[in-house]
Amino acid sequence: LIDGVFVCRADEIRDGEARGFEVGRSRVVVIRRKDQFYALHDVCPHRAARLCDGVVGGTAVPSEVGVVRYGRDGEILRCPWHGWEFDITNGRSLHDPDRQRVRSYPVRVDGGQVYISVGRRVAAPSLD
Amino acid sequence: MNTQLKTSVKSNVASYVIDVDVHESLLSVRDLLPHLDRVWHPYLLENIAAVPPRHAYVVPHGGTRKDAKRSDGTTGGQHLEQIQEQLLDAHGIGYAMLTGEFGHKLNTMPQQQFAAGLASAYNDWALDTLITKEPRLKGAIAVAAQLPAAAAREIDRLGGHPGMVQVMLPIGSPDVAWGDEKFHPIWEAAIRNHLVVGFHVAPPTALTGQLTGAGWPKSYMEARSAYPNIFQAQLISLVCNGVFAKFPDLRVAFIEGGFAWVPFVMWRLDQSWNALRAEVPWLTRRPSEYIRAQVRLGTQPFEEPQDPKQILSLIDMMGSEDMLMFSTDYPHWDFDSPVNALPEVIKGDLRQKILYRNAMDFYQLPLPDHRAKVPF
Repeated sequence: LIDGVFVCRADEIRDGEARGFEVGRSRVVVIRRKDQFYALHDVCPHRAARLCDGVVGGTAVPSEVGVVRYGRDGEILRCPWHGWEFDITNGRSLHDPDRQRVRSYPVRVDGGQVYISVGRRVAAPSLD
Repeated sequence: MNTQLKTSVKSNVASYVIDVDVHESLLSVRDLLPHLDRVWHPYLLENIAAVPPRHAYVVPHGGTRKDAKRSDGTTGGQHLEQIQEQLLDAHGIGYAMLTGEFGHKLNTMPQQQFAAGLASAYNDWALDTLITKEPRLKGAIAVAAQLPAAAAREIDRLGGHPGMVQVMLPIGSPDVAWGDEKFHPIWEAAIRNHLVVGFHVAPPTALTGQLTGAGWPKSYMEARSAYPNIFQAQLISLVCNGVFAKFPDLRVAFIEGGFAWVPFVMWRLDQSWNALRAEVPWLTRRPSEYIRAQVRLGTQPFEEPQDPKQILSLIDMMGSEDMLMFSTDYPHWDFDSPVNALPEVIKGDLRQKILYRNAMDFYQLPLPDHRAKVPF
């Protein structure tokens, strides 16, 4: 028995791509980073835009005043509307990770097929 | 306990008052000569009317309280005994922060070394004439920020004087906004000398550019109403360019720029940061948190909504009761009295915070000796 609901074949999502699916009554965005797959609730908590229309990329990482340094390439999904950034691995926003976040769902890849468990919530990891 | 509190709210009890905006001024620019480096004497004497540069606006009914003006044309801010009697004694003011006028204007001068020389002379004059003679008066070090290194040296020269509590700058900055990296030596000097940095409203001339992004106001009415505009722009500059993030010990006082706009600026900054934080990756906290922690505001001219109760909503929106510091603006025409400038809805603890405690904490001063009769 396979845990979760089949959404697509793994080779249907390219590295760095976010793609939206309806899983039961839930909207889910699946993001691929290299050979890892992540799934988040596909509705931005700010103004309900579909995150699957956003852009996967990196961001400027914390730095000293006057220095802008790129990092976390492929780890950030940026909302298509107001640009809020979310960590693809846990759904937490970068600006207010405790309060502004989207649900993160378990993903399983088995035999080249991607499965998502929308009924279960991944425990948010500690920020430490 | 509650009964006692109620009684004190209704009665006219003595309270301390700290005034964070009092304008001293020279009787004559020539009074600087004994303090001015010899090299600058001909500069000053050749065209004394050009020093300091003039404000761009005339107050049609006069810039000074009529009862602070003397028959010889001088004003209260030019006479120590008049500051003592008409302001400090009459209102029971425990400390008054001298904010000057002369020093602001030096920041508009393209001849920057001359401006720095004048700033030093002015500081020595203020110490000799006022600050060392009246312990209730607390001084501000005038600097010419066009030369940040020289400004830092001047702060180091006088920062250890017990009568000096802040560095004074005009809200309009020379050439670029106050958030610019070139001003960092000034903030570093203020911090190592345990001084607040005060920014006071100053109608612009020359280097400090226009008052708003909408060109030159064509009346003093228009200019005065637009002053908060540049305060907002400079606060946003200080936040976004990481001045508060880089210098968490920096304490900034915004004086005579109003305060009703503060919640809006906090909200707008926080909203922008949500989406644009990657552009300012040195900010590790919400912008509004830096403001609440490191910025205070003088109250004069106290905001006057039609419904005075709205002041309480405004303070609630600021998210802090610690940000407002009472000020009179003596001897200027729009003077606020500690007795009646604050609406009655500001009571008890909040009233005391605004009248003296916020300033006492921010400027790190002991309790003053004098108290005023003010209603609570």
